[in-house]
Amino acid sequence: MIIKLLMLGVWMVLVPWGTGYFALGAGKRDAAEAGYALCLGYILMWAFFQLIAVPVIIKEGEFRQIAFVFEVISLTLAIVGLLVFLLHLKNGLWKRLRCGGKELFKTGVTKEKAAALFLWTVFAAGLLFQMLQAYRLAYADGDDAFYIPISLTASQGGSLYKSIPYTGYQTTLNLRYGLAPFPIWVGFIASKCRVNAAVAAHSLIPLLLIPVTYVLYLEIGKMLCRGMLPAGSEKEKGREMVRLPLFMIFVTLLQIFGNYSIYPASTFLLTRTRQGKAALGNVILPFLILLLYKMAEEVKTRGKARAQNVLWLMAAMTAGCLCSTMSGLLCGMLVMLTVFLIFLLYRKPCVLLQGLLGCAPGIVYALLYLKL
Amino acid sequence: MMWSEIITLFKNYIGNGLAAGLFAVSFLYLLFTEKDRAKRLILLYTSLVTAAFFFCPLFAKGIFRYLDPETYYRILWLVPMTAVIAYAGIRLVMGFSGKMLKAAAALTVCGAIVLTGDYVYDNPFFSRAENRFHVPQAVIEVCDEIVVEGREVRAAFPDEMIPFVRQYTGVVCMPYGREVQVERWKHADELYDALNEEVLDCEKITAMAAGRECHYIIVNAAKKGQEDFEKNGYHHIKTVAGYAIYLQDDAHLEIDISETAAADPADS
Repeated sequence: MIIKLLMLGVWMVLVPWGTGYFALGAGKRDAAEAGYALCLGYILMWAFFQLIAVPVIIKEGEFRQIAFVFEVISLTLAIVGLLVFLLHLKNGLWKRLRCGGKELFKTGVTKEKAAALFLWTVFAAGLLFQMLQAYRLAYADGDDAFYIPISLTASQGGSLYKSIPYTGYQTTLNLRYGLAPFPIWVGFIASKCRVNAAVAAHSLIPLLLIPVTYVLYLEIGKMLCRGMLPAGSEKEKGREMVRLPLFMIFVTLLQIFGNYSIYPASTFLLTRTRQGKAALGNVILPFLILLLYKMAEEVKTRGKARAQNVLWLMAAMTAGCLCSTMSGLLCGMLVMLTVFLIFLLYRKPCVLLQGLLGCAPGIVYALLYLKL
Repeated sequence: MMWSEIITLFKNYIGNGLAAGLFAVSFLYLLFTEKDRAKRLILLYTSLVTAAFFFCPLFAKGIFRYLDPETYYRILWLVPMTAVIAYAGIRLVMGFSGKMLKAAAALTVCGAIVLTGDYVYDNPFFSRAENRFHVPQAVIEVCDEIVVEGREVRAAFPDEMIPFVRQYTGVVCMPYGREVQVERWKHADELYDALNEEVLDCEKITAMAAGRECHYIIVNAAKKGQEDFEKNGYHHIKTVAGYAIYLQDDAHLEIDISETAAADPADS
């Protein structure tokens, strides 16, 4: 069991985080943000998986071909990311982290610090509760009867979309499903952890995808809660400490009490975490919101968004297509609506082009989907 | 027609409407208090335009042409409800001066979220997981009993087991799957219907099962009328977790039937 959990940690924490850290930190002297690196890492990891898997599926190849190429690419990126991190540690990050820690303890326990610690503890308890529930409660969803056999057949038999998941009868490839091979990624995780795909999908993957959603909201919270008062003021410093954990507690409650119907993304997060549509609603879309907010701020200050963010936009669109065939429409709509509003607000036509470029992968997959 | 479909989808999405009400209040609060243009754009304007598209019949008509109308509600996922409510809550709390007032405001926001929402773990589809597979234990025990190393087997399962069998193992195939359980898909299956009758018609079931190359028939052991399976080419090999397993007489699966039967004397 320990080895299985260790492998899960490698493929669902170390690989995405290393990949994200490499993407953000390579060539820079300064350290990248750990939370954002993890979120971006997931997006890049899924985008790579989509780019590798779809051609193999179309060519009616085998699971081991996808697994081999994906393994080589992601492990290489993760190792390079770790090396970049070690380099940053050596170049002063370690010193800064130590000083930051000392500073935190040197000033003693203030009321703000105690309040912040209490709020973070409440949030952590809420998150832990959801992870525990994901492990100990089974949610009977009919769609699992379709997705999990696909993961199982891929990870155990090696074939891709060559049998009807419900019955096991042989069939020809239906590319409408093959274009969004999230179940194959679940199969990959199962094969790496050496567990049955049902165990990976129901018991293991939620343990990490739920926290990833919260890391994303943490990043969104950081952006939103920043600059509510003039920076640097004492009043602001005190407030900043409690604002973010409080924001996260509200988010936690909104997820736990978000079952007002079976349709919201919050319900999908805690009931169908292992399905691609849950990943679309709770990882891809929040990531796009975060990215578009960053782009809006860049347009405000620099006149256009950074090329790097346009690249991440393209990666998010590709990762979205892994999760659901509807992603091309949803993500494309979100991006184009938002960049159009950014254009109206700041009168910078360049952002329209950047948005369109970001949507390109989604458009390609949507065209493939419609043509089929 | 299109308009009424959109409204139905919207009503289904918002449930009792209380959470949507909380979102509307948060939205209005931010609309009047938030001055940062980037935040207004991401949280408010995008939500507004998305909602406008969602309710536009022409847009819906276009989407319905290419996508399953049942998934149209996902357009509403583009409205960042969680971020809007949580951020409005933070602004409200931080707007108060004094620690006690702030704490009271924070508790009020938490209370509003709890009262307008619905506890997800109350959902009737949740049950205590019987194992790490999150599949009923009976399915696992039956499947473990019928799998034969190195080959696939086909078995007709009763209604309650259908969605779980192929989640657990890829080597057990079925003559029908979950598609027969979804009424709106209109995928009728005679064998499925016959196997789920209150009193089993063994002659009919075995003829259909043999015709569809089913090595096994699995039935709830408490069901009436299963004695006649033995006369129609299927024999009882074991009862596992309350389910009787019948194996086709000429299945040739290379398993020692006498040994299997002898392993469970309680069956005789």
